[in-house]
Amino acid sequence: MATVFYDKAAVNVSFGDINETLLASNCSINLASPSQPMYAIGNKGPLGQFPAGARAGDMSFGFITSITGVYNAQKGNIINFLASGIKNSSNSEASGVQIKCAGITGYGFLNSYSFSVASNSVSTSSASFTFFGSGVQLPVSGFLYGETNETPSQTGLLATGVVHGRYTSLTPLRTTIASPTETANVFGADYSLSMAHSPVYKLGQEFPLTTFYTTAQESINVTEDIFDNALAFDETPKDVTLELKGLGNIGHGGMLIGVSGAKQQGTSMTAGLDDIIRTQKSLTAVY
Amino acid sequence: MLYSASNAKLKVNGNEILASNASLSLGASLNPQYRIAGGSIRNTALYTPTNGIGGQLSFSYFITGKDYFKTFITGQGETGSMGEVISGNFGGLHFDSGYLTSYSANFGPNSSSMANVSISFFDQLNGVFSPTEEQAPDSTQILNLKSAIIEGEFASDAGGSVDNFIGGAYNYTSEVRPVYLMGETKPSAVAYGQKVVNMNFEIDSPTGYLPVSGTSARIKVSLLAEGDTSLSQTVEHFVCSGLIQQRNIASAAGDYIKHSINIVQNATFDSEVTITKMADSAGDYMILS
Repeated sequence: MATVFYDKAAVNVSFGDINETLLASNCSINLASPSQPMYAIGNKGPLGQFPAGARAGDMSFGFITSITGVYNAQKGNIINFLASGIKNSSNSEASGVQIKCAGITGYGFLNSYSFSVASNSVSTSSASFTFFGSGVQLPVSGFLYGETNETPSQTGLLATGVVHGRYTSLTPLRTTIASPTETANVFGADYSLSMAHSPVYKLGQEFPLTTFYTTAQESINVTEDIFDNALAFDETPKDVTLELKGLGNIGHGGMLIGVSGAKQQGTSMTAGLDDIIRTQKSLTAVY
Repeated sequence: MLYSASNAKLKVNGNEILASNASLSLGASLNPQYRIAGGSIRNTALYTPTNGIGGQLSFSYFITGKDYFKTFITGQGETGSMGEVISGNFGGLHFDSGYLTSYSANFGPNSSSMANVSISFFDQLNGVFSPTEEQAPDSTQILNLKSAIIEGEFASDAGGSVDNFIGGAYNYTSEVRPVYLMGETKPSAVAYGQKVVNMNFEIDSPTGYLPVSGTSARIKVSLLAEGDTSLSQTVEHFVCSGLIQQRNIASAAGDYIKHSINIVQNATFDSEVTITKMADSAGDYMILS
């Protein structure tokens, strides 16, 4: 049966013996087979449409930022674990992960991950993967069907394992100025990480021989209430560790996001009717 | 009057070529005649031909099956043979004294196979341009490198086995010089010069091994139709068996390390003469290794 209601379409990510069903609110999967028309002089119209590259796909989904899992002794979700592992990896040859939704399975590489935290709000995240396939493995396989028993196994933890702005202070992101001596209040932050993967194709084979992870760029846009006019020509890079906490995590550790060598690249302020003046600063780190 | 690309068919030796582009150039060799006295020291309106008229036809086309032009690589000038003279016709403008001077085929992953040909001819273009209107043929097959089989043989002392062929090109060049007899403006014969085949290939296993005498290598690219997987189903193949004369190892930030080799083969007449199978009186084949 191809008619599947959303309650039978959970998003599951697995890597090795690690496996997590995410609290996804939306999901989209695309598969493309690029072709191009070929024309010949002396002939009106195309000779046909011919393959112009390998089939490739992508999958993106939004999910509630959860910290119900424990990976490598760190609390969090599998996407945050993967992102941390890839960006800090010294190995260039990437290995993909398996993502599954409503019977469709892809073997892909994380190319973007983001989350936002705002005061008194549940934090939401999004992730996208690119499917290149590998060797004889198709980028996307399976067929659409409803899957049962896909509710998260950590149901009991959900009440306290969802990241919330109420208990996430993001104090390491606060701007402080010396004159006058002030420390900002942080109202929210948007974090994003993009990673570049480069597949290497060879003759006689459609799908890549291997895929290299090349570079990553991480940015955090922080909304606060201090405008720092002392932005330097060459800002000093700093290491920041963000801690996202769930509702029941007062006094307990949350999900950590380590940002290395972040440089502030901009600052701005906006004023509007019926609101305080809010400032924004953007921090960028590269890997 | 202007015409569209679809109005001019390209034909070589009567065969229509499915070319994606073509260019035809024609030139006369003229020298200005200056004199040593009078007003003609610095200015002259007189010219004298110094050579016959000639031109070049260049085009790129899709390899759809057995490649006709590849036969000219071993069919021009070997063992005393003058080979087949090439006639060309572009929209009604035609010549009949052409010779293949360069041929190349490019190999890229998941790409349609394309070849580039350059033909030199040594007479003028005859005929008049007459546009045609014709629909493109349907069900045309263009061979794709996804279905290629690449085989490589390298000297055992080269170090590191080569398992992957990322992409490359097959190139052939031949010197062709017209031979004019007294009173001729169109040559009655041509003299073939050096013929060289080379292959540039990006491969894995970077190594710096390259002795002063070069190192032997052979690469064969077999093109198959979509879905075919056996060498016995090869539609067309390209072989270069010679000496590696150049290696190049390069990388750039964000990229992988690329290792490419250049194999040069200067003997084109004796390549690829092999017996692959024999049939007995009952018609059964015996495959020879």
